[in-house]
Amino acid sequence: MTDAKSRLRPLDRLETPDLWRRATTLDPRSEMDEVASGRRSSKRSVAGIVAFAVFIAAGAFAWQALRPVTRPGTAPGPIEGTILWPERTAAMLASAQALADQGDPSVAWRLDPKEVATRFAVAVLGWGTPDAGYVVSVADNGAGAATATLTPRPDMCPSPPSGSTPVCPLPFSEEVLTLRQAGRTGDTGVWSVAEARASGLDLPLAPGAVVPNDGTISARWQLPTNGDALRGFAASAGWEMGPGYPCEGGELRGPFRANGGTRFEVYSSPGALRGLDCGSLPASYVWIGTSIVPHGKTASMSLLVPFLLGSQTATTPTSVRFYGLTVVPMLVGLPDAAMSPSGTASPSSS
Amino acid sequence: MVQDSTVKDGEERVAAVYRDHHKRMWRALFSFAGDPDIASDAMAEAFARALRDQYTIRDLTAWTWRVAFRIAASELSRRHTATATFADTSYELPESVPDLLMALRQLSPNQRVAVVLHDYADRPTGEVADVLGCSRATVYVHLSQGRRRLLKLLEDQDD
Repeated sequence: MTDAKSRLRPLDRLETPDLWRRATTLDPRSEMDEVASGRRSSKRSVAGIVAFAVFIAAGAFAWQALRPVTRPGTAPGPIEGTILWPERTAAMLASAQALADQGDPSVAWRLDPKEVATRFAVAVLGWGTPDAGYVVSVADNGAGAATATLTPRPDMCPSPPSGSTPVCPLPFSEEVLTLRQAGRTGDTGVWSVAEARASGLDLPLAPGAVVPNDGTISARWQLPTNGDALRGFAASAGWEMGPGYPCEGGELRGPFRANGGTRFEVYSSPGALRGLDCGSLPASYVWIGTSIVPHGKTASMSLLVPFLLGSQTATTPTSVRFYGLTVVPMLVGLPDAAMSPSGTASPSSS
Repeated sequence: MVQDSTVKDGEERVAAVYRDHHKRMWRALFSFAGDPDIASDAMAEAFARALRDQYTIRDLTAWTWRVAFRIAASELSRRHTATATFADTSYELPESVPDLLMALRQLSPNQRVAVVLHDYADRPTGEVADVLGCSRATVYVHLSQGRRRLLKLLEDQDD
């Protein structure tokens, strides 16, 4: 299809680095040997053997074939799809909790909800430390739940209001984080960010919601009516499925502008994920964000955010600065997952 | 001396592949991964391996493309799950390229690899199949679906 080829030609305008000197001095990484050779890892071999054993067992109990068939994979626990950052799975959260129990100083901050909120502001929102221009306040809601409100000063707004207004106007007035002790409550339980919601960025979806394959998520931006406030201003939305490649193989349709709002759709075609073991309900998240377009740059936010929630150490500040970010964890019902109608929810309509 | 000249010949073979392919390979890797650091790391690693293993590699060009993409895919996975890495925003994109990259981003990983390697980098379907670990017939399916989806996304942007 020559048309597809011609549409790809603009890539030739990308400037490229010269890496020859680096290649000639680089000592190839031994941990990449298997990757480079394309050999299957032993983990996959074991998975294959287990899958075969399951297949044989299934044959022995053929009567079960008449029952609904579920996709192979790990069934989500009550944690998957309900926490966002720094971990998104129960296993990873348990690792962090174990480190905290051992007194590892690198995770000591996880025991303080205010510190967790601040690190999220640094590592994900790109706001820097609070002295850079925002205030963090935390309300303990009990039972391992807390709410952190991050209130930026006017000079952090895209278009600072005149006069003595103490904070940014809508839709940049605040970022509210829901914090949870998802594994263990009390003084020794680590805190996680369960969701983040920015003023003016509405995402009608609760953490843990199951979005069926082909489901639609509708989001709305409340943008300033003042055109000057939007100069150099970018807004975008997207979703990420599973703990990582290749289970992020779903598609985003949109965003579509309509009736003063913005709609986008979650979709995963059966062909795209065939043969991959992503579990029947992989932990995912959906986001809608607003940011400044860096001067002289045309980089799209959509290209930056897929790595948004990959942080484990939470010490590296993102190079993207969001004015606001609403991001909510969810589960995606993949093709041929056996889901009862009552087990699904289709957040939609804006 | 004979040994020295053999080593130089081997390096020259790799250098020739680098000269002929490095620009297109980096752009293809960047289009696939969406991250200039991953593209650079994968390409440097692939050529470092080519220099090390040059005497055991039959088709140096195909081998380097294949290894670079496998490393990029692996690195993409690792960064998704384990590290605090973010795409580099300081990399400046020419006009119209961000929209194209955003559209590519919306393809499935297999579709993206197939379209970028075959339709942009002109790599044969057999090589694409090696990268994806699937048959050539499956590559055609990914290509067909990926092209259709890409064109639709770009048409929507044009509107």
